[in-house]
Amino acid sequence: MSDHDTESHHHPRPLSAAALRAKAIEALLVEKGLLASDALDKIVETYEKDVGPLNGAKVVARAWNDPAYKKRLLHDGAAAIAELGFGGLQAEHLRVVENTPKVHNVVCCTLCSCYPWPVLGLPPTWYKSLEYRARIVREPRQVLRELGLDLASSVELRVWDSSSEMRYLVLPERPPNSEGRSEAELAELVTRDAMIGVARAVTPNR
Amino acid sequence: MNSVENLAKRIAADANGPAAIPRRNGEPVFNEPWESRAFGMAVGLCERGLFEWDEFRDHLITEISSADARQEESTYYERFLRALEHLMIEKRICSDEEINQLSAAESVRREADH
Repeated sequence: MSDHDTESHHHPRPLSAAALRAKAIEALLVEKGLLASDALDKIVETYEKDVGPLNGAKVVARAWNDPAYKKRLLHDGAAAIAELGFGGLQAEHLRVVENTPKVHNVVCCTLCSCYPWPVLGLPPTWYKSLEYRARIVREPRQVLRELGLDLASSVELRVWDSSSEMRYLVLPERPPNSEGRSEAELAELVTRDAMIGVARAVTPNR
Repeated sequence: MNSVENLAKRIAADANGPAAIPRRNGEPVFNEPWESRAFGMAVGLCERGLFEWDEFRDHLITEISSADARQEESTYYERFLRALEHLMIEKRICSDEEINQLSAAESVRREADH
């Protein structure tokens, strides 16, 4: 804080400079015939709308309802996820780690932002922040507590650091009061944060 | 204020993100439209075989760690865009000058629009 700028207020200028450069690069790619604008629209739309945590939620719900599927999922995550029709970029090497009453798993990427896109969509802003990347490894229990997840000290905490070789998906514990629900209803209880390991699955009110 | 909000606020300040941690399924992950375009360009060029995703990732790691080391206030997608630019230049997909020229032209055009 000591070597503060003489100008204390920040204009959003760097952001608009980046926006200009992004526009310029897009125009160049279109001009060179490398990437058409409508192809780019399609990619963005796919990742914003179709690819998302709902895919992962379906995987988790299936595993909760089908022990044989769960076994395959824990044995070979990418293959079991492909069974449901999900896969592709960033999911070639996917390991599913299971939460139990004794073990809690949480996922991060300390170097950049590796994340299993086909099942979770794109990472949230906080996942990419320096604070999360650094602190979840150094003091995971404290970070989880700050995020509203208080774990008993007897629970073993495992932090998985993603890499180009391996991505991780957390299989959360099935919540209480969830008996007799269909797979689609179970999927509604599975949030993105539960599959990163910073929250539990939602407990329904009945 | 509870501690959940505390971390959310600090993380948001750190990443210039929205004021709260997005916690539900299906929330947008881009703060600005250009961020989604930058993301789409990296994916699209990779899908078309112009580079491997791991090559992009190496550039991204370099940009993030050097910006972290400088304690730079840039956002994730500003770093992402720089990584993409550097990789495109390295792969001779386009040159720095081309990007500079076009973004300057775009800037002038926008001023004129006002």
